[in-house]
Amino acid sequence: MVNCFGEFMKRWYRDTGLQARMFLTMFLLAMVYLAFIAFLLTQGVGTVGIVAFAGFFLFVQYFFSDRLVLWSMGGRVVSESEEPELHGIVDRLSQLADLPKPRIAVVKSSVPNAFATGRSKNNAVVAVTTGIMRQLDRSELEAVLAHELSHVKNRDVLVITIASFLSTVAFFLVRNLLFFGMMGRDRRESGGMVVVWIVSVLVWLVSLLLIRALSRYREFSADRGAAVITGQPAHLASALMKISGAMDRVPKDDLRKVEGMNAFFIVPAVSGDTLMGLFSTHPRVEQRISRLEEMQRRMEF
Amino acid sequence: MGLLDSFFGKTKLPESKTEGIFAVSTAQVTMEANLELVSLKKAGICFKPQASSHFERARQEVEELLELSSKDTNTSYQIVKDDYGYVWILLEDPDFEDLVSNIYLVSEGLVERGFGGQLLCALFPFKSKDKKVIYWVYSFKHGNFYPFAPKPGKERDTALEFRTRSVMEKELPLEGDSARWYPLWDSPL
Repeated sequence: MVNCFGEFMKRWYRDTGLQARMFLTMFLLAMVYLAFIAFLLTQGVGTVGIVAFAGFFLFVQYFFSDRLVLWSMGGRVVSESEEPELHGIVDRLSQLADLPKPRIAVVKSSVPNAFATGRSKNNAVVAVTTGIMRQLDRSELEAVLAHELSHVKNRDVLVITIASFLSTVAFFLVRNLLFFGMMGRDRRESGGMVVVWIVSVLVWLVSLLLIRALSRYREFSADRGAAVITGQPAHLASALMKISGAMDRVPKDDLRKVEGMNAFFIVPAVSGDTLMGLFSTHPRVEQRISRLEEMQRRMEF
Repeated sequence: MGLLDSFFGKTKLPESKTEGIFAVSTAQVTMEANLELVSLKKAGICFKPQASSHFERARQEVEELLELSSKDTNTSYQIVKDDYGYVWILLEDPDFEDLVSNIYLVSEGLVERGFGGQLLCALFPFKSKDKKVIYWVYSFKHGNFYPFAPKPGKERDTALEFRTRSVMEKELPLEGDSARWYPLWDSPL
C-alpha cells in the first residue's frame, strides 16, 4: 500500500524533454561564454575593466532586484488588511510549497499581468496588477500567483542574472569599443579592437538567443510548478486564455511603458508576432495552454 | 527540494511529515496546567484537493476510514470547503487524544496514497483565561508546530504567540523561523 500512487504523482508532472532542452541551452551558453572569456584573455588587459564593471553592475541589479523592479513598475507593497484576498491565497500557497511568505505588491495598471522578483526566497516580492485582479476569478488568480511562486522557488532571478552576465559584458564591449575606436589610436591597436568588437557582437547575439530560449523554458517550468502547487492545471490555462485575449484590447501606451520588464511577466506585454519565435522571452500562449492540458490529461492515467 | 531541482526548474511539493503531530497530546496537558489554555475540544485538518480521479478515489477511501474510526472513538466530524478552495475536515471530541489520532489517520491516509504533498496543516484551537482564541498549527511540511493568535482586523496577537512559544519550547517541536508562521485567517474552526 505504501506509495502506490507515488510513482503516478511523479509521472504526471515530469517533463524530461523540457529538462533536457534546458540543460542543453545552459551547456551551450556556458560554452559560448568560456570561448568568449578565453578570447578576451588573449586580447590583454583592456577588457578586464569592462568585465569587472559589468559584474558590479549586474550584482547591484540582482541584489536590489526587488526594489528596482517594484520602483520601475510603480508597484506598492500591500498589507494584510488592504488586500486580504491576495494575502489569504499567498499564505496558503507558500505553506503548501514550503516557501517563506513573500511580500505582496499591487501595480496600478489596466494591463493584466503579474511578476515575481527578489534575489532569494527570503527577499521575494510577488506582484499583480489591478487589471489582472479585476479580470480573473479567485481560482485563476491563485494559479497565476502559484506560477510566480514557482519562479521564486526555482530561483529564476538568479538563473537569468547569471545567464545574462557575459551577454551584458559583450554588450558593453560592443557599445564602448566603438567609442574608443574613434578616439584615434594607432592603426595596429584599433585593428585588434575591430576583432574584439566583431566577436563581441557575435557573442551578444548568440547568447541573447540562448538566454531567451532559457527564459522560455523557465516559463514552461513555472507553469508546471503552478499546476503542481494548485493541483489544477486547468485553472492556469483558463487564466492564460483570459489574459492573452485581453492583451490585445488594452491601449498601446501602457504596453510600451512596461516593455522592459518582460522577462519577469506572466505573459509578455508586447506581442510583436514576427519576432515572437526566437527572440521572445515567453512561449506562445497556445503552446503553454496545450502543455497544461496535456498535464491535466496525464493526471488521469 | 534540492539545489539541482531548482536549477532545472522542477517545482515539487515537499512530502509531509505526520509523526510529529502526536506531541500535541502531552503538550495539551502542560498548556492547561501552566498557561491555563484549554482545548476547545475541536480540531481540523486542511488539504488542497487535486483535480484528478486518483485523488478523488484516495479522498473517498480516507473518508471511509475516518467514518469507521470516528465511530470507534465517538468523534463527530464534518467536511467543508473554504473560500480558497481547500477542504477542511473538522472534528469534535471531548477526548483530546481521539482528536489527534483521527487527524493522524486522515493525514497518514493521504500520505500512503501518494498525496501527502496536498496536506496544508492541522489546527488545534485553544482558549485562554481571558477568552482569547489561540491556535496551534501543525505544519505538515516541516513536521512541527507554531502558534497563531488572531485579533480582529487581521492583526496577530504577537505578544501572546511569543509568550506561548517560550513556555512550550520543551514540550512541542516548534517552528523556529517565524517567517513560516503562516496565518490562517477565516479558518472554519
